[in-house]
Amino acid sequence: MRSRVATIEGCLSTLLLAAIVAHAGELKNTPAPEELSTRELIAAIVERGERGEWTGDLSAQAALRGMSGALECVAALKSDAPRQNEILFDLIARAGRSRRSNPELLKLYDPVAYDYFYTDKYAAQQQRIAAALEQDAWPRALPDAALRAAPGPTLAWLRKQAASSEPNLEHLRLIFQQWGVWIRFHNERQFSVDVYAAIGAFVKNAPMVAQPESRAALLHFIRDTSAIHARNFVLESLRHESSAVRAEACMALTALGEKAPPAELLAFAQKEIDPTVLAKCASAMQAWPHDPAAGEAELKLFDRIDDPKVRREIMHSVADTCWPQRREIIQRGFQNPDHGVLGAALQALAKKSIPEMLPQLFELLEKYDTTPPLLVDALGTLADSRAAPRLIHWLKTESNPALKLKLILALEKTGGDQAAAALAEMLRSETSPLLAEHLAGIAGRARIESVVPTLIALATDATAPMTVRLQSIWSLGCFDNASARDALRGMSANLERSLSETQKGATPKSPEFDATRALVAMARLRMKDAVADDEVMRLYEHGTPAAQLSILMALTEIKRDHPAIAKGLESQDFALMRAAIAAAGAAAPEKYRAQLLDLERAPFIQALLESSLDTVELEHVFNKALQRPEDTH
Amino acid sequence: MKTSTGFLHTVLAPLIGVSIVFAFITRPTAHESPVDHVERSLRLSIAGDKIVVSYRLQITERAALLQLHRMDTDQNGTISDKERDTFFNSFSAQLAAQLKLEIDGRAIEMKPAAPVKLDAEFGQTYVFAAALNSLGAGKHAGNLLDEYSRAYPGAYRVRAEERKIGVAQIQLRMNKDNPAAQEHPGMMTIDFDVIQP
Repeated sequence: MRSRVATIEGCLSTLLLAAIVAHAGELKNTPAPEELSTRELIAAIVERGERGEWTGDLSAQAALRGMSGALECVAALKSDAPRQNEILFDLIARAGRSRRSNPELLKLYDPVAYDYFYTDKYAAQQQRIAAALEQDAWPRALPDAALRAAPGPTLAWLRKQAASSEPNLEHLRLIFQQWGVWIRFHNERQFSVDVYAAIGAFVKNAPMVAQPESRAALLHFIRDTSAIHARNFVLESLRHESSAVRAEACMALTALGEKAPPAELLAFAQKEIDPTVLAKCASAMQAWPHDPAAGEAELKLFDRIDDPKVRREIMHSVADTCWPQRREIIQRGFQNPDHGVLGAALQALAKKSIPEMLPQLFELLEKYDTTPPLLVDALGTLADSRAAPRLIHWLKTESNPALKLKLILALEKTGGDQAAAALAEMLRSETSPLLAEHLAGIAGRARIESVVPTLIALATDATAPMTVRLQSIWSLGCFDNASARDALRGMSANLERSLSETQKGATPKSPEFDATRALVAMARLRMKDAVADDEVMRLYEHGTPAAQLSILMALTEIKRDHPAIAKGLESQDFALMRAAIAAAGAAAPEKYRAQLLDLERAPFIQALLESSLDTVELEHVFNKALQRPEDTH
Repeated sequence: MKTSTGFLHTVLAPLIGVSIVFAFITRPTAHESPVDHVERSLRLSIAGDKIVVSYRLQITERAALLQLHRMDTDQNGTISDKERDTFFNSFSAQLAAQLKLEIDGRAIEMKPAAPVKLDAEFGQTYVFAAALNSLGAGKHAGNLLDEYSRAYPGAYRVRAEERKIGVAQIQLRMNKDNPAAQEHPGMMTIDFDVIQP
């Protein structure tokens, strides 16, 4: 037996050695991707790709070469090598994404790309890419490659197609789809106007507008690009025999910058009978949240059509509006609750309360023995303490942590003595870290004085989860009393010893120290402890960006001006700059007004706001800080 | 591209390369920074009597645009060569000051050694060098601690330049017991040995 095992072991060892030797030989004979010239790199990707092998390491290296790699791909295109062209167009499309980048960034990081997109130096290469548009069978990545890396010649191809009596509708739909997405996400820096002009030609192209699938694709393209001059075409499409076309027309109208719902759309809502189209029509109306005519149309539509899909869509649409009919529409949802319509109505109510509907909500309360999540949200938004007893009843019987969280958040909103007592009692015994953290936060915001001893105990408990301790510290800052003040001062003095006991191996450089120091200082600032001002500034100047962010967010919450805000406005870190703008607006909007306007007008901040890179609504943060109304349409 | 037909060269050298010289370290980020994401790749090598660190930072496009905002001191919307050089020279010096190099427990100052090289993926490659001051023959324990990574943690990879026979070289060591790695799991700290023939 032992000898057989030894034999098997021997065989495995031999195989392993052979594998290692083979692999080693391969490693030795294959140069690292960075050692390859760009031409060799592209050739290697094609070679491996054609064998169906992994090319990730080579592709990553090609990405570093930017448009230089794309130029080598263009040089390698062959009319009789479809498999190779598939790989090459995919690489061109990936490299071509850089056309969305700011030209000044390209000059620094990929100068070839700058020359490629902003000079005529590579016009011939762009023509070679666009030549593939004439082929019958397109490589999968051709639409992306063409619009990104050969936009001018692709536009010329579009114009030619628009003038043709036999346009290639299938291929045009692919271009419409990809260029539409490119424009919708603010990636198009150069050719938006030319795209609008092409759309203007396509709405007059008879074969294009006669075929429903292509007409619907064109309408979607109009919506993506907000091509306002195509308005008449969109309105005409409301009368088209195809339901898909009419549905797209409804949605396209929302993107044309109309200040009020077009009369044609309002009339359409009263005549159309196809439920799928009407659901789109109902959804479209929310584009005019302040216009009573849109609300009136939705109310009439609810009464005329009993299809639950349409009615649910009406409820979703009404949620964020200021329509005078809002209450009446939501009440219709209560009166016709079946097939999820009531749920959608409760969701709408949870977005914005209607105090007059409290009796109807109370009537619903009696129907549920277990926690109804949508009703809990709606009750919370009403912020009426009379709802507290029922919420407390559910809280006592509920075991699902997610629903318990909903209930405690609703109780925070309803307020009142009963809610405060229930929340305080729960905090004293809660074992779930998530719920305890939220309860500690609510206790502070609601100023529930009776929980101060519990908060002190949690804040100083070395065995408590860090998130609960931090939230308890922050909440203690809400209480202007001696015990809370003494507790925070004590923590400030003994922080390192206290945290070292908690975090095994923690040292003053640990991120937990940074965050906790900042929070203790901020809690003292929150209770207007003057000593904390300097401490917060010192921590800001020496803290990590994460700790600095905590400080700025805390200043926003307590609306407190502090020198850290000015520092944050000068940061080259996006998150810190954004948090500082919010803090400046919350704490002292007039004081920071000029500085905020200067910042907003700076060329590269403008470039950021106009690009697809503003994924966290910086414009909204500026508007709020500068106390400007939002453009709701 | 190097090729070899000799047995020793074909089999043993790559095996050594796999196990020692081409050591490759990656560690997941222990916590995600709330700030824009940063990735690093480093290459350590010996050139003459100097240790050279090639340090590539890959930032997001948004972070790169925000850097242009700071670079554009005259606020004219374009970046002049002077604005560019001033910004990157200053940043390079700050970065060098945050790279704490120790060999045999002795701190050695790192200095910028070449202009920054930018690439199309918003990568910035800096080169830093420090004098080894004629290390004696044998193995010398070294550590490189990147304090900048404390502020901007992220994934990183490190490798040592391929060995050459008869000259000083660097061997990377796994640093799971390094206290600096323990106290801030996102912070980059690299243990290595300088082998002086």
